[in-house]
Amino acid sequence: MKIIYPVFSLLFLGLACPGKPKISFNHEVLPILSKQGCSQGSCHGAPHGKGHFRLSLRAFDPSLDSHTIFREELGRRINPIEPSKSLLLLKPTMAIAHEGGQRLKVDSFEYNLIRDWIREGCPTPEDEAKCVKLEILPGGSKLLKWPEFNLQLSARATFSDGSSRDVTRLAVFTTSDENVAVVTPAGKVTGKNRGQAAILVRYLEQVQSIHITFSRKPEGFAWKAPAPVNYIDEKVLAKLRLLHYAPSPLISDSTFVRRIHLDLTGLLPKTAVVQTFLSDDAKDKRSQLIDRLLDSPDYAKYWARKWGDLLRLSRKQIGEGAVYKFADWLEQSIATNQSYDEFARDLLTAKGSSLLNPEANFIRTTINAEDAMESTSQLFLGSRIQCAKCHNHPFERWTQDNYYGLTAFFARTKTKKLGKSEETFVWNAKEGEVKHPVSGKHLPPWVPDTGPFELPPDKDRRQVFAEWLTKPGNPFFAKVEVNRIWASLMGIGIVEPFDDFRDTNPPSNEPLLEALAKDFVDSGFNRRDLIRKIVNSNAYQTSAESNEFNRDDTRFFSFRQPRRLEAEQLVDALGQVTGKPMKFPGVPNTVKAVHLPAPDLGQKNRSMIGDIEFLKVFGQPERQTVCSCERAGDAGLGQALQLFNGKLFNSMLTAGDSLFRKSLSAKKPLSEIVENLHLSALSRFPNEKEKAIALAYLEKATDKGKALEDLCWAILNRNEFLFNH
Amino acid sequence: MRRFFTFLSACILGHQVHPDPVSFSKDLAPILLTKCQSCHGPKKAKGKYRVDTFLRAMDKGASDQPGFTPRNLDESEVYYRLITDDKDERMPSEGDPLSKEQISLFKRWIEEGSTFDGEQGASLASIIPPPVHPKSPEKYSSKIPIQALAYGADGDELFAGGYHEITVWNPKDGKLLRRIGNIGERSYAIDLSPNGHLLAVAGGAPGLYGEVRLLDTANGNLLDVLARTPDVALDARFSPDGTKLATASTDGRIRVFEQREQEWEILKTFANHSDWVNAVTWSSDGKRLASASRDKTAKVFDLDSGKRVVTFSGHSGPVNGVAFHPDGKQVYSASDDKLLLLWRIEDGKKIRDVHRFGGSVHKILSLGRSVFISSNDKVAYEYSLGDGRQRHQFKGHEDWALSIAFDSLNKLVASSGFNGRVHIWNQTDAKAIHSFFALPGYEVVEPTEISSGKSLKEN
Amino acid sequence: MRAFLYSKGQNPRIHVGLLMFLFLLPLVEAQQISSVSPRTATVGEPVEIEFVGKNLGLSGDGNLSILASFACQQEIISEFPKPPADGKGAKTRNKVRLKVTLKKDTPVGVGWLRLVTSMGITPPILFLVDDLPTRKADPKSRREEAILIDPPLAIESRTPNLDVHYYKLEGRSGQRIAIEVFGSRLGEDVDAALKLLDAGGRILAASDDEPGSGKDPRLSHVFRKNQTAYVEVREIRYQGGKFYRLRVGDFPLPMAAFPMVAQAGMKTSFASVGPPGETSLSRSARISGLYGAPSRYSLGFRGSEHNASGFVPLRLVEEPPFIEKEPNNQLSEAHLIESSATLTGRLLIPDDIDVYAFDSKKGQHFHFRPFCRSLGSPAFLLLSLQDEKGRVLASAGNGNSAEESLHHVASADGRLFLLVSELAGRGAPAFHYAISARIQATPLSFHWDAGKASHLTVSGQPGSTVTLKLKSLRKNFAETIELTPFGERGDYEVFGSSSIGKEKGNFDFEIHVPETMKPGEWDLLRLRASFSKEGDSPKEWTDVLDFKSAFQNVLPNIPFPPEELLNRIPMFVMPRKIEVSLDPISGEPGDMVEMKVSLEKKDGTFRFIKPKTSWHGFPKEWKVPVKAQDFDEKKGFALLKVTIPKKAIPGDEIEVFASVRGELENARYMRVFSNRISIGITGKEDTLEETK
Repeated sequence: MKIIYPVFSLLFLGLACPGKPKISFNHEVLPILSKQGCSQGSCHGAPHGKGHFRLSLRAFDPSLDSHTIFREELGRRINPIEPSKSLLLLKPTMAIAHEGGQRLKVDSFEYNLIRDWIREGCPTPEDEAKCVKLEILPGGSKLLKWPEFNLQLSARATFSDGSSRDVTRLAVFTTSDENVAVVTPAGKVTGKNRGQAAILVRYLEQVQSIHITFSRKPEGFAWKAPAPVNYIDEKVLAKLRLLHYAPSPLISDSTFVRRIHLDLTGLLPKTAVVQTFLSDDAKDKRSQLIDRLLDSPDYAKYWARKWGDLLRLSRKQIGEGAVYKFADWLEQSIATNQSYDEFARDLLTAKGSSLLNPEANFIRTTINAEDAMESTSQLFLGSRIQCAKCHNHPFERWTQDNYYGLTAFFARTKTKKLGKSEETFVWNAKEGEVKHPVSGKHLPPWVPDTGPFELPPDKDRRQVFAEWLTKPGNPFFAKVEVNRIWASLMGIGIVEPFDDFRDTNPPSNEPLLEALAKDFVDSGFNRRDLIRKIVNSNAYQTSAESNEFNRDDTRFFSFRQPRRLEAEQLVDALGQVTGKPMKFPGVPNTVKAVHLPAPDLGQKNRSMIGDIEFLKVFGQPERQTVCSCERAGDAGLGQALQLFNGKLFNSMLTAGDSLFRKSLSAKKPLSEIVENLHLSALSRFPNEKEKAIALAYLEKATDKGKALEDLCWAILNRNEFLFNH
Repeated sequence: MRRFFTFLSACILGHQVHPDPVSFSKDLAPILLTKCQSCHGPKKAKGKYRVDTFLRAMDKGASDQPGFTPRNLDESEVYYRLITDDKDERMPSEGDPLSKEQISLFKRWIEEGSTFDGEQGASLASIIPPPVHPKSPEKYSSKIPIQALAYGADGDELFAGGYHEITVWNPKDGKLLRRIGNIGERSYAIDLSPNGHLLAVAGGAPGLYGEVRLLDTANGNLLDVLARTPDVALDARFSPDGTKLATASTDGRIRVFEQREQEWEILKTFANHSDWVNAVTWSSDGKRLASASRDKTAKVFDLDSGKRVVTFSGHSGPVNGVAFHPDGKQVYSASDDKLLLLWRIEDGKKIRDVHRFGGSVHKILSLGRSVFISSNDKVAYEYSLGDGRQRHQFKGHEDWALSIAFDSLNKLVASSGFNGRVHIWNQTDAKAIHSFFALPGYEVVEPTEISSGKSLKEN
Repeated sequence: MRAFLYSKGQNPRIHVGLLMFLFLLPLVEAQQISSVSPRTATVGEPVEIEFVGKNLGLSGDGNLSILASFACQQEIISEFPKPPADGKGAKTRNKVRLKVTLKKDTPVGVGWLRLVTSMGITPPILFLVDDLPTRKADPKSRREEAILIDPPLAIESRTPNLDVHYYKLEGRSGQRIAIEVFGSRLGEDVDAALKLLDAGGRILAASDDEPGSGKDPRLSHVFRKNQTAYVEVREIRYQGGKFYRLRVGDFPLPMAAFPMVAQAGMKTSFASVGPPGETSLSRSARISGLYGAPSRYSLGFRGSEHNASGFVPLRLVEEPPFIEKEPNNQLSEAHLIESSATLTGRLLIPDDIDVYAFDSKKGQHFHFRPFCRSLGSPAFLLLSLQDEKGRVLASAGNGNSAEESLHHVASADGRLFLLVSELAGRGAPAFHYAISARIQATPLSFHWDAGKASHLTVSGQPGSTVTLKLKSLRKNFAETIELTPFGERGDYEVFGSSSIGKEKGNFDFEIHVPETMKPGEWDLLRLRASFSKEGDSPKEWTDVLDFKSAFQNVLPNIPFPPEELLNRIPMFVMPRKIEVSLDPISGEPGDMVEMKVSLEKKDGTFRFIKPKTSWHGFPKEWKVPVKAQDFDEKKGFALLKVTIPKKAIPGDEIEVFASVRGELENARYMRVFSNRISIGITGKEDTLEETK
């Protein structure tokens, strides 16, 4: 089917209206300079430009650009009499050698536009209308069924004087996922294969995006899925059916007991718990186990540590005393199931001494108002707004004004250290403003949608921000937390990574996210109930084995994405199986790795450095930033070596008083020891083959202890142990 | 050294098949200069290969084959790079390939034995025969900035830089007297020899070429083309005795030529500046030169010893104008930082800030006991050289005042602006006499100010 | 040494033992206490307190007692090492045990006690008088093994290293249980945390730092059903060896007493400010300020339904408390304060402001010192002093110390307003404060510059004079002042002129030591300044000068510059002149000569204990024994045998002198130098020259 290019009528005829310049500097020349890449950050958009020629990044300062192009170096770049001989055109067309390479073709649409603008004497009228709206046509999110995977987009801009025009040739098109769909500079989208992608269109300060789903039915596809338990299953199955991914079957009891323990408490289930659960034949034994775990102190300690990762809870950041106090506060907040909006309000509006009210440590870890805003926006608005500090955000709607508008909420928050102690006092001063670096104006506090606030001087601005944030109608607050909880339980977020909400990173299942958020708000931000609903759903209890029709799904939860145990989970698991749990400095030796208040407690004794290394190698974060990316998940050679013959793992295995050696010296039958090893490490009984191989090896061995070490080493290096599946 | 020549093609890209052998300097040097030298030149030699002289072009770069091997196409790396269709190997690397005619020029030149008809070791720019410039447009379709302005010896002619020409005006009534063609695209400075017979024009085309042309003032005939550089020449000044000419160019060099039996020979080259040299001036005894450069410094040189006497780095922006104090021990310098400073030659220390202007300050002209200054605050000034006091302010400009000239006989001051208008005032009472567009045939089309009316934001 | 011990009950204001300690401190190994346990006593129950330390006086010299802020009987139980049977060769004690029994009506609360021995007196050791019996119960680190305790009781222990302590409780439905730790409030460096867990380990209640008890945790809980519960006690950083007293029972947990200050020895009635929901209790008490640690008291409150008291911090102040009366939020509603007072009040609602007004005269000094955090109140006070027009003259509270004081000199007559608000704008019943407001007419202040003096005292012989190096800091005040020194014994005569004009910045002020004072006696000198100003109504003004005590800069980190020594100069009477004479000698090279140093006492009313002689001026080649010889007490002289080196050249002379140092009977260290003598080298003129 031939694709017809939309006709650009008005532009070419160029009706000459006297007095008013035909080519618009702001609406046409500058967008072209940014679309052709001239004013990008690595070229003339750099702070000092290139080759003595500086343009503002993506033309966010038109008056500077017009001065540079027309007047700088005595008008060197413009030849008004023979425009085609202007340096501004000779260089990008490589008529003269140009390091930036060829950016314009002679007599192309863009070339002629700039040439005509020069012929008109480079007009840059001051009062040009501002672009206020950008639409992508055809609008709304689209569903393309194979084989029609092509779509021609066009962009229409509306200006403050009411006029509007097509800007497809002037706007920049980018795709969020190359291997799902690509887009040409002229806006033609071509789907590569099944999945979802967002196409982002940028024109001057406006940014728009359109989500396109590409669905393709593989041959012989048959839809088969268990009955949905709750709304979560309905939403997940609806998406899978649309994209023709068949969900995998549900998991067995032994996989369930291991998975639920790891996800809710971070610890492997003890062998006794596994045995009683497997032998229990009550119909609702799974939801009973869920309720028991959600009520246990281990759940509170593990999920408090997750928040410790995000709130930079480390000795380096807030001092040793404050670490224990803040960790206790977090644990009590989760143990007493404090509602999430109250939890956020406490953190954001904390006042007074950081020892008396530990939640004030959140403000203490931020060095200034900008840092406080950036942390808050990443934690509670799910957006990485740092880029908008110096110029408009490249992928999102956040402009520089928005960045400083949000920072204004924290401009009056002051902290002071009290004497030598680690105590910090946090309070709100009565004055203090945020200055916009370019315009120099003071910016009032501003939030999306509702816009700027005019606040009386003594009103606590953080209070105002916290109320806006935690109001049920807020578009970010509930979604971000719901997505974070979902990502912790399912291994991958509906928006992935879970703290990077932006137009070019659309949620994989928008209706599911909306439903979860609504349910969360209706329940009064009850985190424990939300977790209960998710882990009781089929979507959570789906097996990790993919099938023929969902093998290449990575985002839509048709099967469980297995992920390696977190560093702390792995250390505790090894300790539990071998009976030789690791001891950590600064806490009693009964404290598990997943309950550690901070990663850098009491590192004074050099001897412990070797063991702490194990946690670092497996990705334990240093907690220096609020970003989720600090917990590295990727595998590495160091990890393989640690599991091969690392110091810590070896000492656990060869310990004289390890579990299996004790049961050996207690003359327990070998078959029972083997069974216990499997129950403890894999939460299931060994099958016949495994039992046969193990017993054969043990019979043959002269030193039963050494043989058991080898067997244990083998089990603990299997993926079934190393992964949370 | 004077060479007569014929110009082969109208513009660099223009070409037609011709029977006689291919000339390196006439046919190939222009292509190498514009298409290759920017990545394979003295400042940057990609692949360790340079084309800025004949020998270097012939030589081997990083690749194992020499640039050109006489009568052997296969072993001429440059030729291979021109014709290969492998995108990463093909030259020029990031642009369209050369046209078939240009490639055939190279091919025939190699087959004819890659002979060289230029001066040994000379740079490409200097061996390319000076171009014959295209004719200026009959009527100017748009305003252009005028940076070059000078009065004739007896004050009845005012020379102004035009588009590929020098326009000569009657200062009294602003009528166009004559037009001198075959001049570079823009002219940045005009200077008349003390006896008025010779005219030196510094100019060129931004990014393309630069040159200083010597003309016979009376009939405008081209006598010589000096200081040929890859980018524009910015200033040319005759020595007080008229026997020497100093030029300032964008390659950072100051060149001094001397007239020996009708031939202008290069006497000395000063390459101390690290960026464009915006202006150059002679001391009253003709023994010393002062220069102003975009590298924010002004320097003084001693001609005989060829040594740099001193560097003044008191400016915080590019320096645009210099003038010697009558006592020869101090120098005035003017810069984009809007300051006119007076500093000592012996230790390069600033004596005082003479004045802070409302905008950047351009070339300054020292004549008699005063120095004339034009600035972007749309005003021209006269300061007394001796005590640095401001004598007059010449108001009237509607755009940046770019250059200034003084007719000492009739005590008239002329100044040209960015919008192409020339204003004339009486020196004694600074009264404006009249002003006119020094743009032949230019009629004011739009009533409104064509360039943006907003305040000019200095960067 | 008996005479120098202050015997109880006599003039409470002069404290000999205290000063002895001071004089000892910089000189000789002073006594040091390393541990005192137990730190609490229960009313009516005797308690054996053990003091362990160094140098606690000579064993068996009977000079061992306790000075406490509460009346009690005391009896020495044992001393280590044991006192010698024959009384000779007594060694210094390092451990003593005393039995103390409190009277029935002793007020419950934190007081202090000090151990007095011949070697001095200890700084105040905080001591809790509790109405909960102290019981033994060894803590367990695993919840399952915790020992059952039956409240109400108190347990004393030390936190385990890298571990926690568990105690088991049986809770009955509806029963209210209150649990608190007494640690930092007894001056211990401990930051404990408490948790009440149910059998499954779930948190019923938890506490770390609380308003009203600072770093000490305390919580209360009402059991909803009969259940076993566990008390978890831990140091917040799991550091071990930290003392804690766990109190478990049913007692109130007041956050503050109102007012939270009291004047020493004055009967004051207090009302307890409880956490929301707890009824306010009231009581009255008279707290003796005898040499205690005025900033660290606490007062017990107990309701009829309670089985023990809950404690609240209290502070003893010199100025009478003035209790705020709401409304006082605007300048118009300010209370007028005529004279120095301790302003006590509460910031009940957020952004509450209390305003006090003062009539000021030009040059008058105003000194406001807030007490909040040190009394357990979470408030961070912001003090701002304004004039009638609301212009801020001075403010305090933005610095980085929690209780920043404000000092202002009135530049004109007129009314000043002190605005008290909370820096973070918080307000609640727990946010109470006390501000010691001192108004001084002194248009000037004096500085006693003992910093250069090596001792903390000035001393002079009876009948001689004592010189005080004073510095006057005047602020637009030109009148001449009359300075009259006075002490516990009354006024002292001034030697030389006692009127100090404007021109005298630094000056020496000589005080005549009365003949009647005997060496070893001493007094606490203060300075009264008075002047009469001409002008319309001559103003007679006298005030006791307040100047920075030398202690603070000589011994900045002394644990306790006793409040009663501030603004006072200890003057000590020295024995009359002591002469040390040395007889001239001569000898030939190679001879052994004997040098005799004799000590002559002008008025023999003192003993020079263990004097030591040392010699100076001998050239290197003279082999002189370095160890100082013992001065023979009875003979009254010391001998030195020295050989003149063979190489010495006859006719030469070397000049030497001796010095004697030791302790005076009243432990007053002294060093006296002898005259210089020359040792002549006799013998034939050596014909050394010829051989040269």
